[in-house]
Amino acid sequence: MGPSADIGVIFSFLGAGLFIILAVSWIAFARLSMTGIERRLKDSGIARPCPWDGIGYRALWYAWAISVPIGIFNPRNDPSIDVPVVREFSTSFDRTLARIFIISAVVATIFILGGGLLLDIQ
Amino acid sequence: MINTAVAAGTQAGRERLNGFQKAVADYQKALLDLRDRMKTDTGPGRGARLAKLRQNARVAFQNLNEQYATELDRYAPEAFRAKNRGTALSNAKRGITLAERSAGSAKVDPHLQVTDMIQASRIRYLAGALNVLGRIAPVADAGLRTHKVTSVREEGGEWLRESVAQMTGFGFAGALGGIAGKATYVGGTAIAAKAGLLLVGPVGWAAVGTILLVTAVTGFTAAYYSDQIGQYIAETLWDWSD
Repeated sequence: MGPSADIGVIFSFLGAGLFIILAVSWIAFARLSMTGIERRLKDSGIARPCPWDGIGYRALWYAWAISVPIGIFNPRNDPSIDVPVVREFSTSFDRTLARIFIISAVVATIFILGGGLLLDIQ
Repeated sequence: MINTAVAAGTQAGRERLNGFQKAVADYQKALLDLRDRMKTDTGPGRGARLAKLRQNARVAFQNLNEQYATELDRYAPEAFRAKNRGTALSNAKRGITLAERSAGSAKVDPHLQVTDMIQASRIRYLAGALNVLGRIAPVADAGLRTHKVTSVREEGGEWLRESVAQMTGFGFAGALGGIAGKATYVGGTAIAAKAGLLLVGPVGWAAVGTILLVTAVTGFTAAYYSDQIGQYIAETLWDWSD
């Protein structure tokens, strides 16, 4: 079971590092950007654009809606989030945080899940 | 005139809404302005100012009724249209009554918040179930993990190592499972859009349901596997630092 010790340690260090970056950017986006966007929306009397969320995954949805260009992978009429409204209410600071968050999320997920599969960790 | 009170942010947000949503938002805004003024305004000229705001609400509703009669019929039942019943979309008089009545209480009457109604096409019905599941799952998971750590300790094992591994696995599962779910959702909606399955109507709902199901399965699978990897990483680093 599992890979040889050296590769396992290197993978663990890189995986843990990427995960820490992901965690920091996730929390930063959620606390610094998402709460601001939601406050501005609330002040404007617009209902929360992502009403289904209970535990905080909407941070991902907001960040994706903001940072990815409108298109087939970020459709304007996404039923799970009101993309145009979220984009309208985000600032350039929010966009930067969202990009950092999404990039670190994609990199960390591919590295950790892909690496785990390649090294056959169980 | 009425829109001078509207924050700049609202204006920006409004531009992206479609015409009907915009008209409904304007109407709601007029009613909420009336409610606020009713609550806060005292002193001479109050009656005239309130009359002006009532007139604004009537004009906003008339605009809604003239331009979007078909859409309006979907949200305001015909039976209520001439009566003092239903939501503010029934008629302007109903809206004004609700606004003035609601001025006495701290909370806005939900019948006034008509913009919420027209967003019902979003996956609002699923929201309740997802929220409950979202709150129960981590709690149950944390309980199982605590149990694991406790049993390792009772067996005289390295319980601190186990607890670090379990916490890391919990974090990895939560984060990476969510990201994998989001990725699946994005891919699924893209495929649905390419296949011409618009995300409205019965076919669209079936598509959305399928996408959500696949998203949930992928998310849980990824979460399960991320948990294993997270535990492996924590244990490897723990042992390495020894």
